[in-house]
Amino acid sequence: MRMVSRLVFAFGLFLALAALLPAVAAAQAKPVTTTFWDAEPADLVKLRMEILKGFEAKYPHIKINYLNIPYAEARQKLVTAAATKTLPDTMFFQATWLGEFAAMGELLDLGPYAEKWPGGKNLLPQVFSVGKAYKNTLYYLPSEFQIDALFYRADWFKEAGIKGPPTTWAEFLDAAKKLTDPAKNRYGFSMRGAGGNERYYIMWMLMANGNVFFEKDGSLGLLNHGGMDGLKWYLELCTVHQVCTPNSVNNSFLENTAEFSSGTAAMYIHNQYSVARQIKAFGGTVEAAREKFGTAAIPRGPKGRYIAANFTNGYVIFKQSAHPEETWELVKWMLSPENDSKFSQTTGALPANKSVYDEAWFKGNPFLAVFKQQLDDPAGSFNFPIQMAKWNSLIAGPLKEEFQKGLLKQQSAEATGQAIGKAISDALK
Amino acid sequence: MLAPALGFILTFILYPLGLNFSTSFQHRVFTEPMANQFVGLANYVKIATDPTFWLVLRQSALWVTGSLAFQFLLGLALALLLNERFPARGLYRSLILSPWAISGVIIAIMWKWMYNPQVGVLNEILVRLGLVSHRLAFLADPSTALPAVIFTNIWRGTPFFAVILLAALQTVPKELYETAAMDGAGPWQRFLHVTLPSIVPMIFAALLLRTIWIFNDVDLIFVMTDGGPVRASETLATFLYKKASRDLDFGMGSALAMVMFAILMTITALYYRAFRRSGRMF
Repeated sequence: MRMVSRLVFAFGLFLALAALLPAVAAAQAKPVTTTFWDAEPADLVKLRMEILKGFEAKYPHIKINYLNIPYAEARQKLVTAAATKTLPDTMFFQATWLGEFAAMGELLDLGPYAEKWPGGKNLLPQVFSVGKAYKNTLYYLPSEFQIDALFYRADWFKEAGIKGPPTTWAEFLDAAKKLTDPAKNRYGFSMRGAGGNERYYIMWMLMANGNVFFEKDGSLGLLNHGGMDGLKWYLELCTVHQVCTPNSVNNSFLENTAEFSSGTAAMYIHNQYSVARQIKAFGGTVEAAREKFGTAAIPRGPKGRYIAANFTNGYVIFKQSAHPEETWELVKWMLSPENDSKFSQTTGALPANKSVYDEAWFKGNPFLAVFKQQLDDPAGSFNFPIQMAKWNSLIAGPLKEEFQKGLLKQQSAEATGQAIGKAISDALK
Repeated sequence: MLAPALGFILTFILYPLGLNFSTSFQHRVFTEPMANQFVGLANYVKIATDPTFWLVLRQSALWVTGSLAFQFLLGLALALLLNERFPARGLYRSLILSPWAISGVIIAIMWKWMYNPQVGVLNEILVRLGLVSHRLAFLADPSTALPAVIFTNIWRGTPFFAVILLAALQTVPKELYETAAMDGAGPWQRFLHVTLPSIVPMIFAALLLRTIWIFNDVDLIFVMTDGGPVRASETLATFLYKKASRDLDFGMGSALAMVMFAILMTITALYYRAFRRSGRMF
């Protein structure tokens, strides 16, 4: 009996020491400071700082030097920092920057870290497939997904007696024509013709050609297999059928959103960030908003499929980091289900953790289901070639301008397609 | 005693200028670190043979002259008005500065929405007054995008001239006007022969400064049109920014910067020549 008591006591002491040891180790660990940049809007900074405070409480020996940069300046600041060797340890990073910064040799391979991380099993497989876009090396860990869907005015459809939402291109065009009435300042579709326009016309081309961006030999396949027809169809919405709002060529997503909520456009395409804005614009509650608008899958193309563009933001660790191990702890913290959920609930982004999708806030919002459906469909979502070092300058330059020329009828749809194809092919060399 | 000034000039003017000049002769693209090399005049030849460069140069000339001419004329008119006595003059003098006091980005966002054909107030007014039969997409039409941004720039920059020229008008001795009036000079003659000659130095200074600022300005264009649609509102400054910052081509960006520097130095030299010819010291 005495022996048993001693054993129990010894075991209890062992458990107590095991529980205390990490805290003791952390307290005795050398204090380090890790620098974290992000470009979130000002209204998210408070949430970000709360999450970072939680990290510092858990890891008292790691201090975060946090800097929030205005989004419009973030890439410029990163480029300058890369030139002057003053990059932070980690950053909340945009996917389109991956190719150029990886090509510069500035990103750390996160593969060895992720392999040893049990939490990685809870992440969507898309996190790793997108994260390994550059030379099949995990330089990037997406933490949020933005996937596009169709926003449509359910009340206009009902008023016009149109069965909505449209599920095919033909239904989409038919609805857009019926809902266009310039005398009443109403148009069927608000097209994005300014920065970011490539997301949508490339989607249309891929729907037409069976989702072939690159051929098997690595050459550009976007124009092939019917891709050019898809571009022509999409352009003709504005140039022939005239169902687009007059400002379409200069529209960013802000104008698209405003035209929809102000009652001048019946449909537009955007990601789930628009859901919260439109709920606010149409009554402030899900119940009130459902009377006015709905979300639906992108209408299916001639090959019977929809393709939705997938865009991500996430985390990288820069090679210049003097504390990669500690910085990795921070990245894991940001990607934990608890913090992933907090962020997604506030930003409207699709989270990276599988378990978060089972939470009540996601399941209870009927507008969000279609985005997850498209994200989960491997044949229905498309990731842009962010591994290309020149992708970012392509989308800001020729891919935007050539499409605008087509929209303004300064060149034919065929010439537009050829110019876009040439720009991408030249960048591949 | 000269050392601090020389040190400042060396560190913040000559060194960056020299570095930029040196980079302009190199192929220096951030995403091609292995390809950095000296290429001589290749960047300058590319610029000279690029039709886009000549297009944006023409548009820069339009941007500067269009903005400057109206800013100056309206600013002078406002200054002459505000130099007269009338009730609440002080309040109007304060209000006139407000466009100048607002950030360029805020002004650009505000005007971008005002110009919007679907939700903008300008179209609403034009339609309701029956002045247009259909809504006008000012910023989406290549023929009106640059004029629309110039109009916004005129709105923004007029207060600068108004304030500078008002200050200049207040230094003109009243006795000159009295003498001219006694000699039978009417208002227009007093303006031509008393007011204008007295404030010419300030006019030249203000014109030179604004020329340089407008030539280098990017904020309104970036926010309102991003140089579009299809480069219809692109200027040399925005073209340079995109080359360097978006394409990460610092060699070409540096060469474009040197071209801009040469243009501005030429304008400044012409100004000084004209000024010396008029016999006035500034």
